[in-house]
Amino acid sequence: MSAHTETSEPPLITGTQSFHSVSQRISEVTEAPIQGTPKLWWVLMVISLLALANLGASIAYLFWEGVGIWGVQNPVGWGWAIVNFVFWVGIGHAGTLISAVLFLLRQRWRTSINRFAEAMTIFAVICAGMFPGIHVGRPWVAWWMAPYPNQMGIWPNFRSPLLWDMFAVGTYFTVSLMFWYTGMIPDLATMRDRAKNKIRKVSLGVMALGFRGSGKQWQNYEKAYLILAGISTPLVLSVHSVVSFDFAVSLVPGWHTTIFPPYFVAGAIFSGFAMVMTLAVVARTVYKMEDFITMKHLENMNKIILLTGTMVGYAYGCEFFISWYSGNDYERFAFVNRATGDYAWAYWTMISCNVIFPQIFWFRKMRRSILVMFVLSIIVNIGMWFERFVIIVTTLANDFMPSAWDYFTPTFFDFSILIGSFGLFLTLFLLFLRFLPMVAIAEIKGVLPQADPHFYEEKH
Amino acid sequence: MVQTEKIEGAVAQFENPATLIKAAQKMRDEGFRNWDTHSPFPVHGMDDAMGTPRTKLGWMVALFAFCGTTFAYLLQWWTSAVDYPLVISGKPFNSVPAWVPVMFELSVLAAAFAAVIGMLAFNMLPRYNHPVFNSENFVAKHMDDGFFVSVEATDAKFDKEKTVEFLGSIGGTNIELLVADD
Amino acid sequence: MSPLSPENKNESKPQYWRSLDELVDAPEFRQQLEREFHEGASEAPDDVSRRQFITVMGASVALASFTGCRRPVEYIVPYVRQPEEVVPGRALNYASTMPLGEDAFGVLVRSNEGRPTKIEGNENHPATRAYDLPGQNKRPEPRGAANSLMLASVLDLYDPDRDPLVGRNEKDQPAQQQPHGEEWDRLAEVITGANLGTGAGLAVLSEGFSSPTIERLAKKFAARFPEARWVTYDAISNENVYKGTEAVFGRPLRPVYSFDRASTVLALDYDLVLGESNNVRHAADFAKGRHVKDKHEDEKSVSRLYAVEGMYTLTGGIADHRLRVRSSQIGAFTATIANRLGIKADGAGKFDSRFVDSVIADLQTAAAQNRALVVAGRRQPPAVHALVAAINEKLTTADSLRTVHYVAVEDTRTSSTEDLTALVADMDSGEIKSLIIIGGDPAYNAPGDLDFVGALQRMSFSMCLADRFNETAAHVNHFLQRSHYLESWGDARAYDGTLSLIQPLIEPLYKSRTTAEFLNIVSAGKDVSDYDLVRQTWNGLIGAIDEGAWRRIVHDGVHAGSAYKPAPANLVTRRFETFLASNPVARPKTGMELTVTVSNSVYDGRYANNGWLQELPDPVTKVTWDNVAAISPATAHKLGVKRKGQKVRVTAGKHSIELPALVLPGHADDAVTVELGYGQGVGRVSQQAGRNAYALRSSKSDTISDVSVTLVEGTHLLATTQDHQSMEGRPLFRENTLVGYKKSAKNHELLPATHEMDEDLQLYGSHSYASGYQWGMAIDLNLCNGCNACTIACQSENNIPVVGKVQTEKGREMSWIRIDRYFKGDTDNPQMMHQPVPCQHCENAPCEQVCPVSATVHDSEGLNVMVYNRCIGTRYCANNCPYKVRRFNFFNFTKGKPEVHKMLQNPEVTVRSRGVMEKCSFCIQRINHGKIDAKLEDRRVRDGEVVTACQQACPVGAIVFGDLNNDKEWNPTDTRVMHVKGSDRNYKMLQELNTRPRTTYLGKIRNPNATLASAIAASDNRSQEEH
Repeated sequence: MSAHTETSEPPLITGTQSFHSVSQRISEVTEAPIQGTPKLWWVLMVISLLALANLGASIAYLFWEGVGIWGVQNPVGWGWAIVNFVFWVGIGHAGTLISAVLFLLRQRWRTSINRFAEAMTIFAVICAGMFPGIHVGRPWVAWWMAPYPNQMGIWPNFRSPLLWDMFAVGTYFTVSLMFWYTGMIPDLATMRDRAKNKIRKVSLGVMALGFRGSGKQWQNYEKAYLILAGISTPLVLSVHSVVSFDFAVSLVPGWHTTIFPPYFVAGAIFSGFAMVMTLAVVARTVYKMEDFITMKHLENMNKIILLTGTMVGYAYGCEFFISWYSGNDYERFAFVNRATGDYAWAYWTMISCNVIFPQIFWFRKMRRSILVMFVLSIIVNIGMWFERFVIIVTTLANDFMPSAWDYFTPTFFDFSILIGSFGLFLTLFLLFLRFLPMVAIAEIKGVLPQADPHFYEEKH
Repeated sequence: MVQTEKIEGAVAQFENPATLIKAAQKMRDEGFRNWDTHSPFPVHGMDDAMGTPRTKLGWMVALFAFCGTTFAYLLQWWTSAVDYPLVISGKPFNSVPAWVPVMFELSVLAAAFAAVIGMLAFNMLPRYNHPVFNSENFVAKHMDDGFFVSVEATDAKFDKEKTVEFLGSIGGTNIELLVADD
Repeated sequence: MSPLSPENKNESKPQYWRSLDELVDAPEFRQQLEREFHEGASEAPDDVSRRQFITVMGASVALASFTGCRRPVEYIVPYVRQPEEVVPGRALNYASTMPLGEDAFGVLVRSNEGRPTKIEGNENHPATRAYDLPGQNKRPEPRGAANSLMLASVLDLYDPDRDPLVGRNEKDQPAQQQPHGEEWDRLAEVITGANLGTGAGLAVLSEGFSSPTIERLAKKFAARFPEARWVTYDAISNENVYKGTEAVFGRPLRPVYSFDRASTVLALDYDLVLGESNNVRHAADFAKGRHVKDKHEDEKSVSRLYAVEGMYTLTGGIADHRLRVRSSQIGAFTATIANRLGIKADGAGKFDSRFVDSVIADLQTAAAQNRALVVAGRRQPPAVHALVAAINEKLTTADSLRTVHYVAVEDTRTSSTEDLTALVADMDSGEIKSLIIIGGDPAYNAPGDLDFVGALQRMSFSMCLADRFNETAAHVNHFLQRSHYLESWGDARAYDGTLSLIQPLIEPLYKSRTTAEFLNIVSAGKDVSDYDLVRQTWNGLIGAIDEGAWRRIVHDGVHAGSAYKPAPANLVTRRFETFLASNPVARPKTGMELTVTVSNSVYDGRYANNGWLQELPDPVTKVTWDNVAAISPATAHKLGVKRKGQKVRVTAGKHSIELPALVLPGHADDAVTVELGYGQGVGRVSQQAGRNAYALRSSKSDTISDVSVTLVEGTHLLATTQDHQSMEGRPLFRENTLVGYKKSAKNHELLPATHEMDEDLQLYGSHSYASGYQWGMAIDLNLCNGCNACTIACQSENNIPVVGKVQTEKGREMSWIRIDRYFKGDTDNPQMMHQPVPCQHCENAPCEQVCPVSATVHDSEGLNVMVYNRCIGTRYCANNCPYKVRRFNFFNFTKGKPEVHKMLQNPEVTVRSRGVMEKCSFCIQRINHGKIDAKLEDRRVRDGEVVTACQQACPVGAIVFGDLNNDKEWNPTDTRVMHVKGSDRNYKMLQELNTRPRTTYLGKIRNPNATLASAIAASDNRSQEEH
């Protein structure tokens, strides 16, 4: 990309940054001594740790007594555990999407946010991955889902969407992790060279793998990064499609719909960006990163939220139309029941949070107001959680057999485990902010004007 | 005390990406082999400037992806239709359409591993140490804001004096000989 | 009142004590007794703590010590169809008899290594002979049938409350505890010690019975204590029926009905399926008259049933026409019918003339062939029964093949509420000082207007013989435990008088004796074994018979041909008229009225400690673990009842109880119906369930006028297994009228209509099930009456756990075969439908493809098998099951089970662990038994050889199971199930999903009166518009 276009549009990084100041500004966060850690960080960390402890306790009791401690019953066999699973997987989409898709589209503004977006992805997928494991009746044999030769001589059933799920989420997690780490190698090298004390020297030295930024290394490195971005793009689209198969492949009216894959992906990007937004605003304020995460970045993300939110809204409408058009009584009932039945409150919460509220982003002023975008990003995530609740619970509660219909009521443990999963997520994320480069140093340097060789030609 | 030090190569620092590019071109034209440039971020046009051939990484990835696909299909076909066939929902033992998602996922997984491991292999990483790390200045700057050219003693054209001289002639500063610390 | 309260502290001091703590009645000791008791069959496992679990383990050690002496010492004869010798792992079936008040049901008890584990009906017994679909079976053979009470009675044998070693809970009284069996050993002394003399001031209060041996010993007792008074009381009895027949015929006679002969039946507040005497046989006989083979069925051959009732009963559900009137109006209605038939009776009322006209028309048509029958519920006053007897006489046109004949009962004592009233009066006046109570639980179920407990407290000597430590036991100073019928030798007369033998399956688990033994000790002072007592009686009854003949009787369980001879029944007109004049049918009062009725689940309360029956949903209300105040929608609106379970206070006279209200479509307006048998003060299971409605009951009548029902604060947690009443117009339960059906071209014309899908339209070719056995089931909805027998049979056969009220309320009940109940038509007077739903064993089972670990797959015989030890519990299969028949173990539901219940488990069925899915297996253990037997004899399984538990229990033969392989090589002739499925009423539920279920249904055919049918159609249309 030429310096020409570069200078014509507003700079991605504000403030007069030199190469050194970039390394300095970002690395110092991780190098700060204990007392140098911001108060707010401590506050958040304590809260998250409490939630995390609560998660541990709840899961221990769950394993001791059984899934009966939740609200799950007949006919609602899947309750909050699966709702949370889909919710977290959805969140986990933004990171890779930003790193991969925006990278391929040469959206250079991504450089400021992709690192912690990727981190968020990984932590979200960890939270998500936990749920299928603990929601089964006999968690101690959950590993039977893996295809390994065993004394029973029996194999898993590859026709089951749950198994596809395991492969999809597993792959997604592994690939995202490698993508994230690969992206971090140069920055780790930077920090390694700045390291003062022995522990940092050794640990960073190991993590940086001896990278020395040589021309030949950069060549392979960029190629590998490009390829990873290339394969992550279909992957990220596939993951939520496969998750949606859990529902679309079944024959439950309200689940058995072909629109699910695109609809789930849109929803995932939607909620993912909302979560990135939430975290970006937090990280920005805690560490004063205004120069790196500028209003331009935030506004771009708000535009994407507006777009995907509207797509989700379209999907809701489409579902209704098709169920009417299909002429299938069970389908029709399922959707009419969502909007008017016992769970109408959940349905309308979903609609207002996901479709109505985001519309305020049509106004530039709103797109650029930190407060508005922060609140809205949270609203959107509440809405997206409810979307999954509506899809899973209300559909199961009223299916083919009116005689079996029942009303799902969550228990204390449904709540405590949901809250706990946020504890796990935030704990991991705060640790990341504190000990790893939250912004991609090398990439930032790459987008500084003086990084471009032609930059110097114009001077003399 | 006097003893013959082991020279492993030389590094020279350059002011900015532009000068580094020029220096690289000169090095290339001079006909050096075991040399390299160092920058805290990838500099555009450096590959041409250095005249390094295109990497083979892409092919490697493609091969692994294909292996992933094949393995996934064979696994599912063998376990469901050969080793332990079960009547499930009255479907055929080898229900191919149901195999697709896993085939896709495993291809991607294999490809991703290939990309990362391949990259490290081609870069001969991880690596414990390297002569350039003997230069304090280099270590301090090369991943921060310094731009360097390094030549290794193993290069045929390497010569203590001449090379240092040449590096100076193409605008290098803080030129150092890399002395093995033993 | 508590024994620890000062006034009766001294009586309540234990004569024997286990420790000084107990003697001084230390709180720790009582606490310990209480704690020991907490876990129980009914409780959800999550209520159970480790500690309590260990305690019961301790109690079980005592049980373990019995194992040596579990085989009965007398000669009991294995059932013919089983090998004579005991093969380990091979169950033996023994014939016996379950006495229930005046009734006696023949049972066939399965014994695994000496443990009674399962009860079936005895086909040799007239009271338990099932109806079998005719024609399909090459070798017609009688089938046994059972009702839920018979099937569940085996659980009572293992009731931990019968174990004196296990403590009682807080409501009971430690002081009343007898150290193990001691009381029996010193019974003779106690009696002499009580110096009852010649019985002056002594009374016996016994439950109703019909047993030659007990009758003989009762006489012996009378001889020993000539001045003693013998009073008989049962909460539920036929006394009004006898009074009615006495009024008509001059002496109390028992009507014996032949529903199979009747072509028109008018049921007046009479539930022929549950609650009345002889219900198994009645249901079976009625089904025979209802059978519709195919479209060419002759309309004349299908009977028509009119039901007139207040509470919606199963009879109302299978009726072709149902008139909704309050229980108190039944008399007026009967009088109306009587008048129309030319019998003079006052009190006729105004009723829907179209209904009355068609009833009369149909009765008269039927009478022409001597095939009309009118029956009235036992709760109706004598006048109604007198009228009904008169009506039946009027409608009987020939003496042969009568639809009802009368018999004079022998060896039988019938309840008499007057006697009880008099007894209580004399107990108060002090005329009666000592009371011996034999069976029953009068302290609990005496009518509310008699203060029986108060009177009992005045007795200087009180003793009771009870099946378990019940409320009466808690108020007497000598409690003796009676043996369960599965532990006893005894005899009984069936409803039709057939002599039936009770043979024990097991030595008494705890120190207990039978009523006969008790009476013998009391009157003779000698302890003679029940076996000898019975032999003595029978020698008198049927003369001295040789051992072979005796063994034959023991083996069959009945003495063939010993039924009562029909008694000459001549209507004594004058007597009848004077009777009617003196007590005419009651004129219905206005204002709210209360009807107390026998419970569909726990009878009069004697089964209230039975977890299976408590958790068995009431077939009409679908309520478990509770009795409710059932009211009509209109009344609910009037009272302001909006939600299920809102509490109402029902006040009758000076008594009032608070009950959860239940809005029941089709219930009569301005009336409330409450089930008896709940809310006992004693019993680990029974005391957790419901409220005691006996308090409201009057000794005069079961229908109490001028009651007040008011909405009160609060909601009661009501565990119903089905909350949605409407079928939403979906083609699940499909039916048609006989006329419409005969006209219809295809079975599409069962209603609601469905979109038949072409089953070959699918992505894959389907799996071929061409070879070997291919099991399948057909359920005839036309015969099914929703009596719940199949559900209990399945529970008992397949070790299905009781999960408790809380879990049931959460929708976690485990029943493998549930009975869906739908209402159709206008909510004031809807039609009720019942549909049993087991696993459908779909060939394209949706549950299988979604299981990630292949824990549910198909076997080569077309069974959808569940592999428990492979299941990891994702519950995906349950979500994807369109029939919602899969059940999940949300907890370790067997963890809290009392140790003694382990003896009950069927060793051939895995006890499921926590976290695994389970469901109907088509009784695969029975299938395999059949296959093994066949293999040993080197033959194939015969048609009808494998019988599922639900099929075996079904009194009406609605369930048919067998091989569907139509390959002529394999099955040269059609099997019964193939034949049944061949019917043009056969349909697959949710066929459009192409799941290809192996279980199919035969549509219901109603036979409405043409003139009335139009009215029904109209009301249907109205409700259709509502949806």
